[in-house]
Amino acid sequence: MSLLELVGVSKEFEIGKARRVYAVNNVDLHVDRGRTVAVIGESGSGKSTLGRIALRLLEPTSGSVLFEGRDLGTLDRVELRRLRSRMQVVFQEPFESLNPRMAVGDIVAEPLLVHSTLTKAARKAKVLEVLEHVGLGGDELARRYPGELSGGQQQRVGIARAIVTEPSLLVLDEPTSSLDVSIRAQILTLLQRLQGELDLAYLFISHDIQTVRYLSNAIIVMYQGTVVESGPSETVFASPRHPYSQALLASALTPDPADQVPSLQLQGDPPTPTTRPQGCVFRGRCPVRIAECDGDVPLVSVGGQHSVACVNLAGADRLARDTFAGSATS
Amino acid sequence: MTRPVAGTAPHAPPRGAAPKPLLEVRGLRTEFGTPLGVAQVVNDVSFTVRRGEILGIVGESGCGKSVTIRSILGLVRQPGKVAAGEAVFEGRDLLGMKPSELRDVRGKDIGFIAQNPFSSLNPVLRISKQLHNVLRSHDRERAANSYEIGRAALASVGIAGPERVLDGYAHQLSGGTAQRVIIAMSMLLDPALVIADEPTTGLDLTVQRQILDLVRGLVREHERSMMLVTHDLGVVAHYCDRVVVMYAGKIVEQGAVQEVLRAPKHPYTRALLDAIPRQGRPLVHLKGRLPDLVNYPSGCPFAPRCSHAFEPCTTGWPDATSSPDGHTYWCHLGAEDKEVGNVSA
Repeated sequence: MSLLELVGVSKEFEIGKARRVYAVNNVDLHVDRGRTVAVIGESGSGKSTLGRIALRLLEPTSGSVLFEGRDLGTLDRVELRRLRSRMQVVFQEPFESLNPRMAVGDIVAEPLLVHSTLTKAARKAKVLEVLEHVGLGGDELARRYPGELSGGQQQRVGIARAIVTEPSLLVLDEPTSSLDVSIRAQILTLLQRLQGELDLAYLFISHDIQTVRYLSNAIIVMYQGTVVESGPSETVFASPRHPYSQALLASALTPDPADQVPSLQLQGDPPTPTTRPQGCVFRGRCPVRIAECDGDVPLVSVGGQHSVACVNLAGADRLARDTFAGSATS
Repeated sequence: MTRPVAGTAPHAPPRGAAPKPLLEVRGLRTEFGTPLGVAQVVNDVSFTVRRGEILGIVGESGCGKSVTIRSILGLVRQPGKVAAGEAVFEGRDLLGMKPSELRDVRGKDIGFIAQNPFSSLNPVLRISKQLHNVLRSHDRERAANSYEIGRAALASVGIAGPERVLDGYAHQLSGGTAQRVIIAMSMLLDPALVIADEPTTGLDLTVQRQILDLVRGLVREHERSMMLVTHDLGVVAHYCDRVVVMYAGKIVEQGAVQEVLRAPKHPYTRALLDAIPRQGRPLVHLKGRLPDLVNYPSGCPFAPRCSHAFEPCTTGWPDATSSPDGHTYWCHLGAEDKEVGNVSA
């Protein structure tokens, strides 16, 4: 049994009169204990919405979310709250997700007030232990305010707050994308260490390809709210089959000027998802579009766990050869 | 597909002759008054932009890279001020110019592409009007024909159906299209130098590549020079000819991209490269944080975070160590003729 399972999840938002945004369309995914599944895509691809649905911070329009085998949609508020202590979230902007008027120690203690019956002294001991765990040891630091901390320290506080209730799942919503490279490396190292020590599962939402490749076991590539490709990270990174996955991976620039840059054959910008998706979501920008792309484009297995939603795989594979010709796969 | 070659500019002058650089910045100091004292944000920075080259300026937040270009463009506002230095552009010192003279140079001879296109566009004027205003302020004759010129300019930056964009407003544009409009605007008056401050940072990854390819194409095609400010070493590696690495308001290393990124000499440059997650390599991260820019350290500002630091590092700013090809770094290891060690060991 997977720790977290999303089955056929869709989410529509109403914006104004009779206009809708189709943010997430019929997504399946599962995260096993102690594993990292990355959801990768550009802004507007629905990946953050998906993360919020996984935590039941948003209700899906259709489909279900199972955590430890229990359907979150069928739980009452008390049961949901109890389960929430085991599923936590780390946000993108560390400073904006911390209350500027609360001391670090109080911020980290807050989930315990909601989720535990610990005494004040026990809470304090737990907070200091967790802060130590994320590399923010010392009583003095717990008394500081978020504004007095660096971006990296702020994100450590966000992580401490997330793990203080001893969760089994963390949703990491772009936890490093507002940080400088050297700080990002610190946070990634910390996340890796915590995963090993606490047997945490991560649903890692990101647009940063290098980070995803470094951290994830499996990846899900989203475009316009729809999964276009999914599979074990190694497989997808070694041979991306969907034209969009290819473009996305080809867009990552390595810092070595001797590496060959894959050529990008994309046109145009991503559209706004205000029409109900019909046919392939990517066909407007796709260099190997054919007539069948206007029809039904299901996500089907191309071997093992690797699945692709493309009806012109022959064309897509030719495109991959052109795109990555001569370049070591990123 | 031919590899986009960094290196030789399309109209590089003959070897031997030392051509005059397009822009020469010397001893630039920019300070910001804070309640705690004066912060040295740009601290004695000197570099040149050669004709026809793309120069990258790279560093993390707070390193002074954006303030450096804002100083050159006369865009530093209170409580900041340029305290010393000169920026000689085609024989004239930009820092000594009157605001009206500088306004004339900006836009006409130097184009600027800011990070967020929406903060550069006026939300209540049609795009066509904004292009018209740019022409009118520098070139009244062409302004009469601004709609046609605007249509051609937008087409040249890859906007399909330019009329739709010309007749519309900024909020109707996607981020990628808005940045294309800014690029068209920045090159409307045929500037010799384009300065771009993180031009693709807020954009989607696939769009970033499209925009970078576009800007490079327009710069090369018209034999312009460009300064590209970025925090992304991947962008530097594949879109710049030379690079300047900044830390805490100082330039710590500069040279050809091939040299600086493939054989970095300064420990900070190496640390930046090692902090990028790459398959099959351990992630190495820097400890500590930027020094206090108000009480600027007397030694090397990177010394407290540097694993190679030794006694001289706390005493003073090191002399430059240069190789004949122009690869230069400022580190006591070099000054004392010690090696930093192998890259990616």
